[in-house]
Amino acid sequence: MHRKSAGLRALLILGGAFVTGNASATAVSATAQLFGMSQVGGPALTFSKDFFTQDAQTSILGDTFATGAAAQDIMVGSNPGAESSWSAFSAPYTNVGTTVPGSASSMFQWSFDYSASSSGSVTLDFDYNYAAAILNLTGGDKAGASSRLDALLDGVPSSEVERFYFISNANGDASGEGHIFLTFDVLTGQHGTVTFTASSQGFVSTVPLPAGIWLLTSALGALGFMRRRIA
Amino acid sequence: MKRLVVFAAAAALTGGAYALDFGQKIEQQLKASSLSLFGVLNTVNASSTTQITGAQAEADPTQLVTLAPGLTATVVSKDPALGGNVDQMVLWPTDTNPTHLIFCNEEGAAAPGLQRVTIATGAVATILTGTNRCDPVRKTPWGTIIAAEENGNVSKVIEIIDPLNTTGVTLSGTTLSGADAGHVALRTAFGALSFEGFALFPNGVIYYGDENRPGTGGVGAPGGSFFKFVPDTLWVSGSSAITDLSQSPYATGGRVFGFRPGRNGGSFSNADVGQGNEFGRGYWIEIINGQTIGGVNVNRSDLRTAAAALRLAAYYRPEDIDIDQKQLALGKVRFCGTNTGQDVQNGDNHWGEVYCITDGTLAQAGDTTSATQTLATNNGAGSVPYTVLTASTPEYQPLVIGHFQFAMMDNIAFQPGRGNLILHEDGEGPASVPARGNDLWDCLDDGADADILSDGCVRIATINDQTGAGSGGGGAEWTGGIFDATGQHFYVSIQHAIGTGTSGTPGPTYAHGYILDITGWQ
Repeated sequence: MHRKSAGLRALLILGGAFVTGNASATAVSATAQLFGMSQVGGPALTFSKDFFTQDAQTSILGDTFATGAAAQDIMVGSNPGAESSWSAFSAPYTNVGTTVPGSASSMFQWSFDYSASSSGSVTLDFDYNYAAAILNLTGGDKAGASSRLDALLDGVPSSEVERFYFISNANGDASGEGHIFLTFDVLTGQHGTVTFTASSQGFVSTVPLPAGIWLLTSALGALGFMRRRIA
Repeated sequence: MKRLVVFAAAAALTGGAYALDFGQKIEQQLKASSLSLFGVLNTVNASSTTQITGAQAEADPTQLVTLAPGLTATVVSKDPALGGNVDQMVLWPTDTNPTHLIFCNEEGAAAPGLQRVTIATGAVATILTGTNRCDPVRKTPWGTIIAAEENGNVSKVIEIIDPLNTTGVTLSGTTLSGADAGHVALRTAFGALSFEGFALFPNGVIYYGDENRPGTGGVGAPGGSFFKFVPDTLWVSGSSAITDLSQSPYATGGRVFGFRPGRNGGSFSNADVGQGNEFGRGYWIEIINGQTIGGVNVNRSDLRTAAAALRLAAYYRPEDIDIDQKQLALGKVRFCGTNTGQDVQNGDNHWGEVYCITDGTLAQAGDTTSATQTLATNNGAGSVPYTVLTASTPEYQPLVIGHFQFAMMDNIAFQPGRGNLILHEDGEGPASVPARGNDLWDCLDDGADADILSDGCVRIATINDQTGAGSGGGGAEWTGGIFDATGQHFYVSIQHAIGTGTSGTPGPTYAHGYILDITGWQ
């Protein structure tokens, strides 16, 4: 199985554009994206039972709730805003941001079963992107942004590999591409489940500031992704 | 606002609706939603295997802990006079604007028993010495402090007025001495057991458990039971604080009742009383001094013996208790506590549990209207008349069942605002191979879903000390954590941690304690 998308740089640029949105307000954003998954060596695995879960939430009643043309695209609010999508970059990603006091979280979880045709050692390579940024931290404000990616092999014992990036209460920008390698031994006929979970979380607290514009909304619009506004 | 979309990609479906382990998916979702559910940017994935040195701990006690991203620890006190086993604590004078922490030190009579620390400076003063394992302490609605010992049927309950101006009192037997001894009184009306947790309600009704291990005294001996004390004169909320200890509702006596599950067969016939019935609804059975059951003399002065005679339910070492303030705001009585269990490696694998007890409304909980319930009992006790409360129906239900990574939970604290429960692990992980530190767990309360269990728990902190102090050993543990009214400051003790000291007796080698303030919850 191999999935690869072409959205890496575009996604990171998008995150950068968001946090420059209001030069006078604390701004946070975070992104996590599964860029691709491939098997590296080992006996052939048969995959089945895709299971995809999304969650997007904000601390305040969102002014928007939109889905894309496909059901796997959801966006809640604009500032704070949270988005979990698959189709925008042909790969699942999460994105949050705010320039006003509040918080936003988004996640996706993708899992699938595998069955081994023979015995051996298997490595699954999860290629991911991440970004977490705080800009213009204003005196008295508290802010945090995090990007978390986790690959989990179920069973006893289970195997879990986590990557976590965050910025807390300081200006900063952490972003890049990484890999999670999930390596495990299989026997002929063995089956199990692999779960990949990614989440973005961000908050600004303490000092209320005028609402800014979460540029991600307009940026996505500029990229030409059509969304159906339902509320 | 929250939107959740769940679907299976139809193109790849080959069979059942879900992949193999749905529970693991939920665990991952809890972690992925840590900010909204628990107020932290991420969870702590595993118990610490890091061991810092005593010098490191003494130089910077915050190095003793690893916290979830977003949380920060500062040192409230590492004063050499701080008790080595700082345990339960209260904020004084209020939870809103506290200036002091007043706390028990769970050590022997030679060590400080009850102390206070000035939050701004970390300065420590000893209020009282002479207690044997002081553990629970609470602030009363009438402006005093009550504390108690975890010392079986010789445990004492102490009430203190004006605790900031009470220093250097000594307790010896039942004698109090020192210049401020007049600020302290012993209270015997609760009876005696190994006190650990108190749920003290605004009307003065107080619940407590007996920290007792099953089999203590012989195979088949029950564990610890639950009791409530209803003062003869209930406190009226909003009344001015008392000015003399004689005005305390605990000065004039009251009635003690024990919890016995079982209401099957109508109110007073077959009540399903016996081993195997520890959950669900039951009765409060009065402890009547002088009642003889099966040749056993029932008396408050030995509630453990009374519990066995009255066939009260028993649990594995009931520990700390905290009140559900959200329910109290609705006028209802609900408190939650821990039964610690036992997780010595290759031992019981009894990981402990968190339970909650409801007892109707606050008014019902303080209503002592009673009736006589006569039941036939086994073991030669014959037909026994029990005095039972009729105004309230106590109900015990589990909330969290422990597991290998979350074992022997001890202290418990509801977080104001969010309403989550912070559980302090006091397990045998530090003594296991490989050793692992004790953790703080953050649990959601039960919601409107069908089951009655917590909606999920995550690890939010772990201790980097599996060695512990020479006086305590077994690795350090979290104890006594308490939130301020905002739910943003969590004051917690790191008990018997590694440090420069090795002795449990104050002096040059005293293994003193550390108190931290953890902040950063969103």
